[in-house]
Formats: sequence, structure tokens, C-alpha cells
Amino acid sequence: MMKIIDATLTMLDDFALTKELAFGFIEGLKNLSVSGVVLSPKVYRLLNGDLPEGIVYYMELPSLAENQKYPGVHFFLSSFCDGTGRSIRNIQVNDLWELKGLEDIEADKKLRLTGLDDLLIYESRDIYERGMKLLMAVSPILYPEDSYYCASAIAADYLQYHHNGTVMTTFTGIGNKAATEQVLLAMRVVERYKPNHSFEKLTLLRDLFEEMTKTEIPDHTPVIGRKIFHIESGIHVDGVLKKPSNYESFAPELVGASRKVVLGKHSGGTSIRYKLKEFDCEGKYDVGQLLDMVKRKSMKKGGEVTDEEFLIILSECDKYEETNQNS
Amino acid sequence: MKRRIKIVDTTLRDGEQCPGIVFSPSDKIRLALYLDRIGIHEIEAGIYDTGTEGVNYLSEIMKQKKQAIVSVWSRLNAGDIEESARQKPDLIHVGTPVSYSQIYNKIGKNKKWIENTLMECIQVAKDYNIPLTVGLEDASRADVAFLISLIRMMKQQGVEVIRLADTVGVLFPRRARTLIQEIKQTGIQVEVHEHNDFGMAVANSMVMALAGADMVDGTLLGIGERAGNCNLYEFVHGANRKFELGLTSQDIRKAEDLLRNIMAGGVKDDTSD
Repeated sequence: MMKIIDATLTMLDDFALTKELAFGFIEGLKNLSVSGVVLSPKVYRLLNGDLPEGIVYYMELPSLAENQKYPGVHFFLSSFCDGTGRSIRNIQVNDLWELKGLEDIEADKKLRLTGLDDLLIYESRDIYERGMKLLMAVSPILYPEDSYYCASAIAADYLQYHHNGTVMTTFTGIGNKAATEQVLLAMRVVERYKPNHSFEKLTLLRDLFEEMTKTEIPDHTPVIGRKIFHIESGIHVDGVLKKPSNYESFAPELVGASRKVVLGKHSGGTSIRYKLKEFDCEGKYDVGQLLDMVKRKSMKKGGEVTDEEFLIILSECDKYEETNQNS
Repeated sequence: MKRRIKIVDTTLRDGEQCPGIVFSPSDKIRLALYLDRIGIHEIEAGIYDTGTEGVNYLSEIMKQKKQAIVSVWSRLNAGDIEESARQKPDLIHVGTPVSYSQIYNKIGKNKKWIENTLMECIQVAKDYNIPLTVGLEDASRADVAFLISLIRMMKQQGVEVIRLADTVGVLFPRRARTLIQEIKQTGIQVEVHEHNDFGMAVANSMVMALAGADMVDGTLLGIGERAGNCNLYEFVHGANRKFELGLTSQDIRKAEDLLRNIMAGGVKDDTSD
């Protein structure tokens, strides 16, 4: 079975984490069916060894002699392998051909391969296929880097080829890695990975991540952005309202999000009718006239027309009607 | 010698479809002329629509641009193609639903209707002597046999370029590669248009270019519907190693600065076009 291990917490040593935040983040990952979490010694100490159960723990540890200090951690990642079965050797691979040297490695030796940023950038499909076969033969934990913005795709591609493969990722791809949430959802959609599992806790994880890193995840970030299910253009709103799968590759509910029709320059009549229905005003207004007013408002302010602004437009129409009737 | 890949910027069309993003006609002119200056091959300037920003911005871009091909997006409708043709762009791009989901669920038509209407649109563009490219919408979820028969039909009518649109962003490298190989057997030039729903748009574009695609679409800052489009900076950054693109990632960075500046511009009131 394919496995995804999350290494986000190893990237956060320089941030002011609290025990509660780190603990909540691990619980969140567990809920998403992530199979393992990598800790740094600093995060372990912060948690005071109090590790949520039901997940496999890994630790980046330069010296394996110190591993006794960390009860509860199952595997240690370092440049060496001590043959105890609990150490995983980390190797940086910069070119596919370097994998050839790893073919003869003993089967009981666990490996993590870091790097391979340009795995997808090969002209020849043969070279790529041979490289992927080598990877499958070595069967490492693959920890691709994102220097060419392809890390999530490399991780997903590896899992598609190698259904028993393991990849290591980080939330949002922090630290120049593949993004946990992207690989997870990609596998859910294309490989039916955990078909009955809900990923709605991703929003909780996103909020915790923002709190830990004191950053704001952009609204249109794949899978976890707050506005990825906002729709404005007439053609899309019409298509989604007819059948969401016309323009959505997965349902917003799967990732704890919701769909929202936004009014603006690109709106069509369907959006106006949708909003009128939402405000219980169907049939009371001229849709074409409202659409014109919404577009003008959007262009004048340089952005979307909020629900409040739309209600003001409706009241302006009401006043105009009233004045006309009285005159 | 590196193979040439042509870059198509669709910031002004698909990018602007990101909810909340609004370009005024003068913004569009500024951005288009900048993109022209840095060597973008084709600029998709917008959708023919007199109801919002008008059409004068398009003629202004056409008048001032130096080298880029300026295209206009049109629905699959002979009337819209005719109106677009009257604006005299270099190229018209016609969005053509090709997946069963889009044909039957979205527009409520059938394959025959698509074929007939597309042939009608091609004829209108021919009458106006304006080249037409055909965008195969939702191609990543379409029946490849239907795609190929449609491509053969349009090729006989003189269409030279089709756009494979991964409209809902469901392609992954493995499928992206084989799709290009299948389509390229028809001998048509292929432009790829990736969406970023799973964060794979740049990687897919790269894999498709390596598999034989001729043109790659993208937007500045990767803006677009949902999680956006292929981010041009990110694509060019990696693709420059393998292809001749006619521009550098630093050129794209500067264009992004201009876009950021425009998006932070606050109140706009030049809608009198």
C-alpha cells in the first residue's frame, strides 16, 4: 500500500511553536491518513515525548548514538545505517544515473532519497522509464525537491508507478518539497487512495499551519486555498450550477470547503438569478439591468461585488422604482 | 540546438477569470504591450464582449504591438466568431467542449452538433481570412477517439493548431505524456493549457512539451480559475534548460511586477472604452 510521510515539523525549528500546536498538527495529519510524521529533536523536546498514538514516527538525527534519548520514535534518518532495522540512510541523488549505484544495496537497508528535482525533465521517455524502474527496484522513501516546481508531480508519479511506494512531503511544500495535501488529494482522485476517507480536516491543518508559521496561505493555493471554489465567470457559474463536476475535479466538501458564487465583471445572468434566489427576491428585478449594474460596479472598484454591495444595488433599484411610480 | 516552444500568455483572458481580478482597458493595454516587448509569442487578450470593457482596447493593442500574435477567445458560436473577426485580431481561438460532461451536461448538445458548429465557425473565420485555433475544452476527460476524429476533420478544413485544455486540472504527468503522444500522431500542432488544481500544472506542461507539444499556455503569477493556471515564471525557469523559449524567467518576473502593481492599483475608473 502506498504511504505518505509528512516532514513539516522538521522545517519549523525556527518558528515559535507551542506543544498544543505541534500536537494538534500531528493529530490532524493522522486524521488525513498520513502514515508517518518526521520530528526534529527540538520538536520532540517541545512535545516532551508526548506523541499522539496511531502514527509512525521518524526523526532526523545526525548521530545514531543518541537515539535512546527519543523513546516513541520508530525510525531515525541519518547518513549512516547501523543495521538495527531502525535506521534509514539518507542519500542525496542529483541525477537518475546515480540510482544505478544503489541497485545492489542489501534489501534490509532502508533508504530515503532526497533530491531528483529534475526527474521529469528528461527528453527521452526511455530514460525516464528506466529511471523509474531503477527507483522501483530500490524502493526508497522518495523525498523530491521542488527546484523546478515539479516535486508534487514527481511524488504523485512515483506512487502511480509504484503502488507500494512511500513518499515524504511537507504541508504546502515548505522547505522546497512536495506538498502533502497535493499528493494526498492527487492519489485520492486518480488512484482511489482511501476512497471512503474524508479530507475535511485539511482546513484545520491549514489554520494550524498558519498559526505555527505566522503566515497566510494564498487564497488560490491548490487543494487548501480559501477561494479555490469561488466562481465568478458566467460560463463557469452556469456549468457548475448545472452539474458541479463540469468544472470541479473534486467536491469542495471533500476538503472541508464550500462553493461560493461571486459577482463581478465576468458574471452572467445565471449568477444574478442565483443571488436573487439566495436573497429571496426572484422575479422582482430586471436581470439584464442588474447584471449591467454589477459589471459597472465591479469595474469601477476593481474587484468583486460583495453581497452587501449587491443588496445596496437592489435597494437603489427599489428607490428608483418608487420614485418613478410616485412621479 | 534546442527545440522551440512558443509561449502563450492568457493572463488577460483566463487569468482575469480568477474571481475578484479586474483589468481595466488601460491595464490590458499596458500589460499586453509589456508582454509583447519581452517576447511572448501569443497574447490572448480577452473575450469579445462589448458589454463590459468594449473592444477599443483590442485595436489599441493591435496598433501598438511589435511582434506578438494577439488572439481573442470566442465561444463555439458562428455569430461570436463573426463579431470577433470584425475586431481584426491576428487570431481567433474558439473554445470547443469535447468531453461528454461538457457536451451533454453543460451545453446540452451532442457530438454531431459540436462537429457541425465547429465546421461553421471555421468557415466564418476563413471568410474573414483570420486564422483560427481550436481549444478542445476538458480534453483531459474526453474520449481520445472523438478528439482524434474531430482533429482530422478540422485539419482537412485548414486548422493547424489545437489547444488541449486540461479544464479541471485532472491531468498527471503519466497521462499527460501519453495524451500528447496520441494526439501528435494526427500531425497537428498542439498547444497545452494546464490548470493547477493539484499543483501539477507546471510539471504537466513540462512533460507535455518534452513529449512533443509545440506551444505552452500560462499566466503571470499563475492566476486563473480555482487554483489557477500554469505559472509562466515557474515553467520558463525549468523549461529554459531544454527549450528555446524566446524569453527568460527574469523577463517574466518583471512582467509579474507590473501585474502586481496593477492589481494593487485600487480604484479604476477608465471604463469609458
